[in-house]
Amino acid sequence: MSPGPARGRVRNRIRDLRQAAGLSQQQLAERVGVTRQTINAIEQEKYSPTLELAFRLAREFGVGFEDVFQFTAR
Amino acid sequence: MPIAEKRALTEIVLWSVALAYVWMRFTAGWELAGQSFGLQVVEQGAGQVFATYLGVGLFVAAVQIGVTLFLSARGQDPEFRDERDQMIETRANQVAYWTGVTILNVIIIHVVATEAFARGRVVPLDLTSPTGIVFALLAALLLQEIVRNATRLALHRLT
Repeated sequence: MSPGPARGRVRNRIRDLRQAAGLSQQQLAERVGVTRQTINAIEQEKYSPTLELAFRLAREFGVGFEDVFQFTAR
Repeated sequence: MPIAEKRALTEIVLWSVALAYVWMRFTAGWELAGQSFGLQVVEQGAGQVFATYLGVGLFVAAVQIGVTLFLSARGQDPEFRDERDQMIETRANQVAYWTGVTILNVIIIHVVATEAFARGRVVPLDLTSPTGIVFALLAALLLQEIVRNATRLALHRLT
C-alpha cells in the first residue's frame, strides 16, 4: 500500500509583508476584498486562503506566490 | 465584536426565545414566572397550534428584518460574506443538517416506541398526537437553528 501524500502545513509571511508595506489588517482586507478577521486568521495560520485570494495577496505585495506562501512537509 | 459574530449571537438569542415560547405554549409540568412548561404535551385545537406556529414565524421574521435594518443603518453590509465566512457557513450548515437528522431519528424512535410499548399510558413528551408532532417538528427546527448559529459563532472564534 502506498503511503499517500506527506502531510504538511501552509505557512505564510503576510504579517511581515503587510507591516513592511505599512498597512493595517483592515486596509489590506479592503484591498483584497475580505474581512479584517480573515486577514487575521490567515496571519495566525488558522485559515488557509483559496488560491484566488492567495494570488491576490501576493499581487498586492508585488511579490511572487512562493514569496508569500510556503508548504512545509511534516 | 465582528459583525458576523454579533449576528450569530443575536440569532442564538432569537431562536432560543422562540424555542422557549414554543415549549411554554405546547407543554406543562413545572411553573416558572407564571408560565407552565415541562415534559407533558398539552393537547390543543388546530387553531391554537396554527396561531403559535404563525406567531413564531412572524416574531422571527420581524427580528431578522430589524437586525438587518439596524446593521444597514450603521453602514455595515449585513449580507457581505467573504470566502472564510462562506466556509464557516458551509460547516455550520453541515453540523445543523446532522443535528436535524439526529433529532428526527430520535423523534421517530420515540413515537414508534410510545406506540408500541406505552399506548394509553402517560409518557414524557408523548408525540403521537397531532399537537405532539407539530411541537416536536417545530422544536427540532428551532434547535437546529440554535446549533447552526452556535457552530457559526464557535468557528468564527476558533478558525
